[in-house]
Amino acid sequence: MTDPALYQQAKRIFQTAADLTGHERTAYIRSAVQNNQPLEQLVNDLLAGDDSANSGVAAKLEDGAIHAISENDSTHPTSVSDILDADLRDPEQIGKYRIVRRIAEGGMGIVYEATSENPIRRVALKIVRSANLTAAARRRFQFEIDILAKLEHTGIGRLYDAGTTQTSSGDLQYLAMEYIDGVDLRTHAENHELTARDRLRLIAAVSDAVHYAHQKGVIHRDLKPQNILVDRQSQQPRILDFGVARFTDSDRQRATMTTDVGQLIGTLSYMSPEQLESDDNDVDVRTDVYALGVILFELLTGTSPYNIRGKSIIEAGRIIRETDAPSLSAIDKMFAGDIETIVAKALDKNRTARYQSAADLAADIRNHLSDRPITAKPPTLTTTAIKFAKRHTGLVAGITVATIALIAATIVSTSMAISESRLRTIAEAQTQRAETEAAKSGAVVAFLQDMFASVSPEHEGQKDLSVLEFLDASADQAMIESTIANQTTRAAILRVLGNAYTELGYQGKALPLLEDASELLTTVPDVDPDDMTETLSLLTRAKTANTDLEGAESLANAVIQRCLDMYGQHNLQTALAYHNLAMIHTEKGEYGKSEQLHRKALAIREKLGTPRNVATSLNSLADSLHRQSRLEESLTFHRRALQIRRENLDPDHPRIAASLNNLGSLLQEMERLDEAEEMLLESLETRERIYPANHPLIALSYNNLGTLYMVRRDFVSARSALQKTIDIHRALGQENHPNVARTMTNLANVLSNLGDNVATARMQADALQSLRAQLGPDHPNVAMAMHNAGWYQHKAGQTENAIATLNTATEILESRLGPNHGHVAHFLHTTATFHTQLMQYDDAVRLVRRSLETRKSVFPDDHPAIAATEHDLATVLLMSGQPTNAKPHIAEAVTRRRTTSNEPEPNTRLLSSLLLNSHIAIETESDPATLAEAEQVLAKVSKPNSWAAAYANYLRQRTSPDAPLTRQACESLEESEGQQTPHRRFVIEQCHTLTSGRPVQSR
Amino acid sequence: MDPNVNAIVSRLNSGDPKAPDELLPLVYDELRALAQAYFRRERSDHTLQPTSLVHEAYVKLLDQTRIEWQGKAHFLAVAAMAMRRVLIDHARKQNALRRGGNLDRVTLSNLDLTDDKDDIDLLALDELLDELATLDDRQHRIVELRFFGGLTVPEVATVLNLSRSTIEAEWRMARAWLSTKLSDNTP
Repeated sequence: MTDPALYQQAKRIFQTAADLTGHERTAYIRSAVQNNQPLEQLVNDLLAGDDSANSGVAAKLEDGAIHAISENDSTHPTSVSDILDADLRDPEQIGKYRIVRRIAEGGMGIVYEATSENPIRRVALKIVRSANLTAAARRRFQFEIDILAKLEHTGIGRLYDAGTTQTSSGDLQYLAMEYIDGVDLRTHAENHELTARDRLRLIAAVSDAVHYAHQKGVIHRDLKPQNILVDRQSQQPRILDFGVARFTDSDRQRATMTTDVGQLIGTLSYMSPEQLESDDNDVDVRTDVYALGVILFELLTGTSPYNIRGKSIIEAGRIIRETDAPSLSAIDKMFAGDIETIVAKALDKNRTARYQSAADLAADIRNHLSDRPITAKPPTLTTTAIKFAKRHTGLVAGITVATIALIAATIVSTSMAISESRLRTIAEAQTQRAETEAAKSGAVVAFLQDMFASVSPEHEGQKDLSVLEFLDASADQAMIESTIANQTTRAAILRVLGNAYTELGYQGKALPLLEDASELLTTVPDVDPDDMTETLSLLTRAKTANTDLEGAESLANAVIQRCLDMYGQHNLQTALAYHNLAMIHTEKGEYGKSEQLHRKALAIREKLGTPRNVATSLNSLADSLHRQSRLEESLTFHRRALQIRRENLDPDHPRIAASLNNLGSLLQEMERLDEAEEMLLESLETRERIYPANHPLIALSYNNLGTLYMVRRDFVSARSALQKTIDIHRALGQENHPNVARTMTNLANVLSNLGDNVATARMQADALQSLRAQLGPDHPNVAMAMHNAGWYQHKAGQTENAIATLNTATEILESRLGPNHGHVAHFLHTTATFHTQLMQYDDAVRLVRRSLETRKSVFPDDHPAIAATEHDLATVLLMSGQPTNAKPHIAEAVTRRRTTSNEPEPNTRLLSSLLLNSHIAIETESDPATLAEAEQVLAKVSKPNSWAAAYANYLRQRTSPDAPLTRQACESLEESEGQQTPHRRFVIEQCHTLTSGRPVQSR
Repeated sequence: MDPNVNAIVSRLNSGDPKAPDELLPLVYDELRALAQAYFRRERSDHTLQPTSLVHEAYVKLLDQTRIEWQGKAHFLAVAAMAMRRVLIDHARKQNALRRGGNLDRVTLSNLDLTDDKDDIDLLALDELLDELATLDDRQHRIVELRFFGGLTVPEVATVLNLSRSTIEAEWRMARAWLSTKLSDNTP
C-alpha cells in the first residue's frame, strides 16, 4: 500500500517533472526527492506510467469504460455515445464566432451561443465534433446545411452560415443559426399558463411552419417540444434543428446515407410507429403530423400518450407500435369532443387514417377554434347510431325509441371506447326506459327528435356533433322555461336528460336537471305521481353519486314513505327506494342498515322484478354481508347473483365480470385461494376484452390478483400483477389515489420478499410520496409508511438514511399521538435496531430504554412486547460491554417469558432468553447454572444445525474447564442457520477473539 | 418521466448533500436492469457500452427539457458511481460462477466476448480505486467520473467545481499511477 503523505509529496514533484525531459527531468527529481528512496521510486513509477499513456492499459483508461469494452465497435457511433464522447473541450473561438456559452447538446453535437463581429449578431452555433466525424456524419451535416438554406419561414429558425474551421483538436464543422431568445414550447405554455385554446393556436402555427417545410421537400423527423422555441418578443413558435430531416423527393441512396438503418434518431416518445419499424425509406410528411399529434397531446394534458418511462428501448417501441393511446377525454373530460377527435386522428397508428398533411391538421384546429365543424370524424351520434341501428334492426323498434336509446349508448362508446357488447347492454336498458317514456309522453320524444334533426347532417350540411354536445344542447334548451310550454313535458324531458347523464357518469350535470325537474313537478297541478316518484329516485341517486349523503338520505326516506303511501310494500318502485337508501348507508359505512334494506328490496324483487333486478339486490346484499365479515353468508348470495347473471346476460357483460371479481375477493379472504384465482382471472380476462387498456376496473382486477399471489407467497406473479396495477393508475394520472398507495405498499413488501432491496426501498418511497400527497405530511399513516420505508432502506444497506427516516417518522407520530403510544415505542425500538447494526450502542441503549418505559406504561403487564424489549435491552447492553447492567433485564425477560407467554412452553423465545442469560452470567462471572436449564429447553425445541445449538455449544465450551473453546465452535456459529443479526455477529467475533488468544475487547 | 428524479437532480445541482444518496439507488436500479438486459443478450447488439447505459438511464429517468447542462453533469456523476457498482457486481458474480472462487478474474472483455490483452481487470481497478481514494480522494473521483461515467473534462470540472486545467493535471497523475499498478498486476 502506498502511503498517502508520500503520494501527495510525489504529486508535487510529478506535476513539474512530467513536463520536463531527459537530463532536466533527472536533475529535478534528484534535487526534489532528497534521497528519499520510496519517494523517488514512486515518482519514477508515475512518470513511467505517464510516458506509456498512449498505449495499452493507460489508453484504455483514457478512453473510459465505453471504448475499453467495445473498441472495435466502430459501426455504432450512435448519437447516444456521441453525447458522452470522452474528449471535447469547449473552444473559445470557432471561425469568426466567439463562443459565449454552451446552450445544449444533442445527438448531432453541441450548440453554443456565439457572437460575430461582422455582421454584428448573436447566433446559435451548432458543432459537429471532430472525434466522431465519420464520412456518414459529414454527409449528414452537409445535408443539414442544404436543407436549412432552403427554408425561410417565420416559424423556422434561419440558417446564416455554415463551414469548417481548424482547431488544435482537429477540424470542426459548424452551422451558424439565428439565435432565438425564447423558451421551449412546453415551458412557454406553463410560464404563461396558456389556456387550451391558446395551446391549440400555438400548435396550429407550428403546423403551418411544418407544412411550409414539407412543401419545400423537407421532413423534420425529430419534432419535439424541445425543438420548438417560442420567441420572447414575437411569441411566434419557431422550429429548430432540422438535423435529421431529409428531402422527401430524394432518391433512395441519399435517404439511406442520411442515417444508419436501425439507428434510433430523435426522442422515442415522438416517433411514429412507422419510424419505429426502422425502415427509413418509409417515412413521409405524415410522420411529422404524428409528432405534432404527440406534442399537442402533451401540451394539452401534460403527459405523454404512451407511458414508456422505465422501459427498455425495445419495449418502448413495442408499446408505441402496439398499444392504443388513451383518448384525451379519459384524462380530462374537458377535451371530450372535437379536440380529442383531432388528436386521435393525428396520432392514428395507420398513417392513411391520419391527417394527410400538417396543413390539414392546422385547418381542423382552426375549425374547432372558430366553432366550425371539423373534418375529422369521431364515432358520432349520426354515424354510430345509424351503423348501430343497421346492425340491430330487431332492437330498434322505431326511430323515436332508438334515438333516445342511442343517445346514451353512443356517448358511452365515444367517451369510453367501450366494446360493442357493452354498448348493446346500455342501449337495451335505455330502450326499455325510452319505451315507457315514449308511451307516456310523445312530446318528450318529439323534443329530442327536433333537437336531433336540428343538428343532423341532413339539416345542416356537413355538421357532425358529438353525442355529449347533443345532450348539452338539449339540456340548455330544456332549462329555458319558455322553450316548452307544457311544464309536465319539460319536467319529463329534464328527467330523461338527467337520467342519461347519470347513466353515463356525468353526475354533476345530472343533478341540476333533476332538481329542476322535481321542483317543477311540485308546482304542476295534475302531476303524474309515478313521474314524481321516478324523478325523486333519480335525484336520490344523483345526490348519492355527488356525495351529498345527508341530502340523499333524507330524500330517500321521503321517497320510501311516498312509495309506501302510494303503492304499498309490494311494489318495484318501493324496492328501488329501499335499494337507493341501502346504497347511501353503504357509503356511510353503516353496513347493518344497508343489509336490512337490501333484504327488503330483494324480497320484493324476487316476486315482482326481472332477473337483473334480483341479481343486483343479491350482489348488493352479499357486499353488505362481506363488509360485515359474514363471509359464508356473503358467498351464498354472491353465487346466486352470478348464476342469475350468467343465465340472463351476454357472457361478456360487465356485471358478470363484477360478480366474478367480488366472488374472487371474497374467496380469497376465506383463504380458498385456488377458487379465488380462477374467478379473478376470468373477471380480468373479460374486463380486458371489454374495456380500453387503461381502465380503473382492470387495475382493480390486477390488484386483487396481485394480493392473492402475495397471500400465496408467489411473489414473482404478485410483482407483475401489482406493477401492472400501478402502471394503469399512473397512465390515468392517479398516482395519488388511496388504492395506489396501498398497492405500492404491497408491491414493496413483495419486492422485499424477492430480495430486491433497492427496488423495495424505491417502491416504498413512491408509496410514501403518494400517501403524503393524499393525507398531508403529518398524518399518522404517513409516519407508518415512513417507518416501513426506513426498514427497507436499512435492508438496502442504507442504515444511516434509515435512522434519519425513522427519526422523522417518530417525530410526526409523537406530535400526533403523543409520546406515550405503543406505535411510538415500536418506532423507537426499530431505530434502536438500526443503531445496533451500526454499532452505535449508546444510542441503541437509550432508545430501547425509552421504548421499554413506554411499553410498560401503555401495554397490559403480560404483553409479550415487554418481554421482548427487556430481552433486546439486555442484548444491546451486553454488546456495548455492560453485562452487569444487562443482568436485571435478561432476568426480567426470562421471568416474563416463563410466566406470560402465550406460546406453549418450552418455546424458542424462552430458549433465546435463557441462552442470553447464560451468556451474561459468564461475562459477569456469576453462576452459569442457567446454562443447564437452557440446554434442557434446547433439547426440546431446537434442531442440530440451529443457531441456538451452536450458541449453547459455544457457551458450554466457555464454561467447561475440560473442553476449552475451539475454532470449531466459532465455525459452527458461523455456519448455523438463520438470519444474520448484529448480536450473532458480536458472538462470532467474540468467539474468534477468544480462540486467537487475544483478550476480549470490551468497550 | 419521474418528476421526483428531476426534483432530486435540481437539488443535486444546488448542492444538497442528501440528494446523491437518494438518487443513487434509483439510478443503480435502472442501470442494473438495463445492464442485465445486455448480459442476458436480449439486445440485438451484444456489446455492452456502460456509458450508453448511463445515457439510456438518463433519458429514461429525466425530463430533459427541464434540466440544465449542469444538472446533467451532476446526474452523470451519480450515475458513474452506480455504473461502477453495477459493473463490479457483475464481474464478481461472473468470477464466482466461473470458478466457485476468485481464481480467474473477469476483464471487461468477458462482458462482450472479444479478446483483447490490454483489457482492464475490472476488479483490480475497483480495488485500486479504493486505494486511490485513501491517497487522493479528488483523483479517485475524477477517475470514477471519467472512466465509469464517461464524463467529459468540462463535465467533471462542473461536478467537482474545479478548473479544467486542474482536472487535467490530476487525471494525468491518476492515470499514470493506475496504469503502473495495473501493469504490475498483469502477469
